[in-house]
Amino acid sequence: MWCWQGESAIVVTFDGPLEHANAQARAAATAARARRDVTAATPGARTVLAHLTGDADPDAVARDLQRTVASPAARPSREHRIGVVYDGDDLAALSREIGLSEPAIVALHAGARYTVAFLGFMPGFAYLLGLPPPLRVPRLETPRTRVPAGSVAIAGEWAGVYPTASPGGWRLLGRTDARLFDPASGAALAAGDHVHFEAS
Amino acid sequence: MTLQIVRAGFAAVQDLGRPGYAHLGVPRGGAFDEWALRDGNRLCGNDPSAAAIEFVLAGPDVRFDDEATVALTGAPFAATLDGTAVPFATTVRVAAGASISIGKVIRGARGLLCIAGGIATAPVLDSRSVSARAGIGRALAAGDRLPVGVRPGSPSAAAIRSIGGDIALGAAVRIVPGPQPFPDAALETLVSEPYEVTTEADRVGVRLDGPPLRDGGGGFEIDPEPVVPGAIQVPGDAQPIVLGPDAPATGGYPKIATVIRADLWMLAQARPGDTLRFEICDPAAARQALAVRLRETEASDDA
Repeated sequence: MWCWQGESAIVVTFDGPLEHANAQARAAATAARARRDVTAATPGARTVLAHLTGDADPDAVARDLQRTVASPAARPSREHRIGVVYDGDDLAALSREIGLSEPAIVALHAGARYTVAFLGFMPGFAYLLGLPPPLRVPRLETPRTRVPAGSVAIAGEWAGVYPTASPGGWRLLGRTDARLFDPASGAALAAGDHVHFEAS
Repeated sequence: MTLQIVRAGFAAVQDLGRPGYAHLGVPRGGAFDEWALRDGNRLCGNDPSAAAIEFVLAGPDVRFDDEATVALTGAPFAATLDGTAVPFATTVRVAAGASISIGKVIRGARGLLCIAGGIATAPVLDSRSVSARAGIGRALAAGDRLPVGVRPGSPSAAAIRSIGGDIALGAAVRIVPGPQPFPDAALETLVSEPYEVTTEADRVGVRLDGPPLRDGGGGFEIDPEPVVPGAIQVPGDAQPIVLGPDAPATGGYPKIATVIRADLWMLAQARPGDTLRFEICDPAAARQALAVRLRETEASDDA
């Protein structure tokens, strides 16, 4: 399934469970970048946005990308360890909501291995898949007008870290000093990388 | 060579942005009215990607430490050079020590002060564009001193068709439908009814007010995916938001259509209270319109 986004880019969508669809989207983005008829490609949660050259055949590009096989060895991925002080403003409320103690929440969050699905929302903000199911809760009904830089947060199926202060509706579990975006050098995390959180 | 910001107005440095960094979550950025920047750079003999000063509704006062060649493009603003009116959309010689004072907008919303050699602030990720909301650079402030580069070509004497002020002519904004499927009735509403620009209009997005684009149930979200400037998001309140150059690189609201690149300048020049009309455009026709606009701004002056 594909559709235009504007006059020169197509969105190719992958179906199925999110983690599987995202792995395909990431593999498709990598494959797309190697093509002569694609000028840029970026994965989303379950889509890839491919910017085409003027002479590209969008049906052919979409068909090829749809058939891309996600292979774990396609790209060397890096492992990142991010130290977290678990004193987030939403920890207590989350504990009441899901009926787990704060240490149990921390153990679950810090015990998982996450995969960077894609970057978006703001420079260096990585959407992480791999959040343990008991921690999957909706976003805050009323977003905060300001979430501090370095906030370690969760929402729905996602985990993430706010690289800079911004408005935001994710639940805050803690904070980190890790620098996830530097205008001079770019983003610390890339799609396909793995992340571990460590209580410090 | 330098210039000094004496009074900032609402201004920031912009070039053609960072189209290659969406995978880092970086907004594309760049001049909202791309054609005004390209027109101004052509007048000044610059590369199309040279950086200029973009301002909205009220412009800055700028003092030139050295002799300079400049051009004002985009929306026409009331502007004077040491007290004399500055012509719009043509090159202007400025003596060392002279000042250009840019006042209020006359028509449209966004103007550009282009300068031969381009603004030469330090690039970040291959661009000098400020995306303040994304934490890249900041708006200009009184007292800022900006370096100016060396100009690669000679200024053009050619007349240009600067279109920034012509939004009032009421041409339809062309859109390519998708990528999310909307009911036919919603698309039909979008192209047959007028939409008014609200006061929530900036470089991140332009919120419109008009007949709802869904039956009001609202709250419908999609898994987040990459978006491009010009995409028309429809959040739960069923009122469209056209994304601007500083929009986040991904979004979780469905998108009914995308404003074609040749026409995105109309959003840059729309003011709160202005009325926009939309018209469906085939992607091939949109690419043709883009090629025509690019040719117009890149035309050689050798003839």
